[in-house]
Amino acid sequence: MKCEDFEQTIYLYSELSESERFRVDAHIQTCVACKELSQRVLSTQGLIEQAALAKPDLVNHARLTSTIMQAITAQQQQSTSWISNLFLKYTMVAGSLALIIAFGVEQLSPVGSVYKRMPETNTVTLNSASFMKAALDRKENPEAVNPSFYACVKSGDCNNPLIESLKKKSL
Amino acid sequence: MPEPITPELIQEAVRGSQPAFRAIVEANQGFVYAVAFRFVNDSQEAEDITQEVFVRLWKNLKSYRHEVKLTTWLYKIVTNRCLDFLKSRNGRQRKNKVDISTTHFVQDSSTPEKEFQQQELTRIIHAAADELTPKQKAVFILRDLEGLTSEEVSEALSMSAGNVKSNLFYARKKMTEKLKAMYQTTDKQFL
Repeated sequence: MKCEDFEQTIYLYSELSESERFRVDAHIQTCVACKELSQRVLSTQGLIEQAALAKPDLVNHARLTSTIMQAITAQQQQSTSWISNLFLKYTMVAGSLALIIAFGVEQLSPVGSVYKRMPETNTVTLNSASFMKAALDRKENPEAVNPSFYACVKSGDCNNPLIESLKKKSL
Repeated sequence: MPEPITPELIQEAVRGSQPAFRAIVEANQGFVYAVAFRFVNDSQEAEDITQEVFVRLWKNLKSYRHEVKLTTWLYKIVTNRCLDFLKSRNGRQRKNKVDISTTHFVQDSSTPEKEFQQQELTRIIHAAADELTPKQKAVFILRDLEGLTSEEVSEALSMSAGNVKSNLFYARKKMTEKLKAMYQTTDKQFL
């Protein structure tokens, strides 16, 4: 193995198994460059271990605990109101959907339908004879209908009290 | 390392007990803050992240799996949050602005001179770590500064063992080179 192959194992010496360490140690004994690197890495590790002893510490533990507990209480209240808002929202959506469905069902239901199609008009083709039939029937059998106010005034034959009073005034 | 939390206490907190959760916060906020600070190098940001971590823990406590240690889970949450911060615009702007002067450190120094040396060394290590990529920094902090095992780092970062080793190699190599360069420029003896 070349020195470059040992570089990684020197830096990761603490992570190696015993047999791997033995192999690295044997190489270091025979290689000046790797021995130098190993010493440098060990010195760095020593400094890092020394720095690790100085733990960053909170100035005021009680204040942070209190802040955390306040945040948790606020978060709990927020989630409770969120759940109740969600419940209200879903209730309203469900109510609206129920109304829409009820309206749709009523419209589509055949019971109580007000439309009656004539058998003659049951196709897409317009059958003018069926529309004309009603007009022709009226013409052949005219019914006694009350004349309009205009027709009464024009003919002067009606027994309308308003027309009678107008006639008297004109006399 | 944080104080151990009993499974009963966790169970109570899962059931919604705020006093039980407070006990968990009190026992673990110190180490969560320390990890966050090592990532962001800013006491205010580290406090904000610590707060977010515990709010997230409270929200997700019902999905907590007992086979995973609570501390491992907390490491996972805080690391993810810190990585998000480092990737954010705010995090990138803060890069290379290491200021540990306003932060209190638990020192293991007997004399003021040793204390000063320790503080200086901590500043240099934090500044060098700031040059690493976010993943390398995460592996370096958890493995070399927090003292987690490779398996715990792998679990906390959801990373394969090979990936952890690879990131650790590049992190240690860069740290060695950075420290050598920093000590040379400050006329201090190194290696």
